[in-house]
Amino acid sequence: MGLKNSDLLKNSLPIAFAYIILGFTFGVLFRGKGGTPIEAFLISAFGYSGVSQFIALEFYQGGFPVLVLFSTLIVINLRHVLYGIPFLNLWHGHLKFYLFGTLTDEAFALSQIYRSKKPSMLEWVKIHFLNHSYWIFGCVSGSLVPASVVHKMLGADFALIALFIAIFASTTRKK
Amino acid sequence: MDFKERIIFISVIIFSIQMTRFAPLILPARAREIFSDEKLNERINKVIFLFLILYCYRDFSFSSEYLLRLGCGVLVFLIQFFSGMTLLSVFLGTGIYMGVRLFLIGV
Repeated sequence: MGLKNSDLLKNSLPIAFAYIILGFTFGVLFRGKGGTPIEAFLISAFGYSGVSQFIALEFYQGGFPVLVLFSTLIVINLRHVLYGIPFLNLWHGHLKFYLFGTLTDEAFALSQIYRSKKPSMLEWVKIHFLNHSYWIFGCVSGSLVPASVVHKMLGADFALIALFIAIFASTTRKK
Repeated sequence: MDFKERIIFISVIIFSIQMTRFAPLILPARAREIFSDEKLNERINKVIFLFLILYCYRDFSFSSEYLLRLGCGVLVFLIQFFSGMTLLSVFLGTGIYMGVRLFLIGV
């Protein structure tokens, strides 16, 4: 069964809303700490983790404790091990490396919605790539603008909490 | 930070995050069989989302911001539970939270 691109785009809107604004905030704060747009791109494209990136900001200074940063991020991201397990038998081929590498909290939430629709591997990649590109766009564009802009968007990060609650409510509703 | 420190900083972030994401791929086959159980997966998912929600509300206080966040969270749950419309519940909840926070609380 094929999924329409328009449906993929529509279903990704709550995440786009949250990711672009949160990523933008990260980019602005990162720039304020002395980071560059290239660094913001590398971190958001290959790291791609909201909570971890915001925590890492605190370490962005000369002589930062490498091991403390490493162990802190490992502990914070331990939940990702659980996220990947339900997809072990679902994702295959070389594309699975991209899917596992981009399995964020929100991608996991969205993947739960799509799972019953049995997307093809290419469709799974499209689903993840949309979220991934929102995040990269937010982070990089935020690192390019003045910090004063972010003040007007206070509270938009609630969209992530709302998404978690909505997914949880959906699982409760089925019963 | 000098160039070398920046490279190390970025590498540590990427490596630590991706290490946890790729960990399931190196799990033994026996562990994969156990976790391929649909009901178990459903339960794990529920627990994870409950954990994430609790994590978002971990800074318990009676501040107006916290109470607003809690109230909007309940609202999102109720809308989602009774309507099943994710876009509606997420956007309405977030819109109310942002609006009230900006115009009434001002934090």
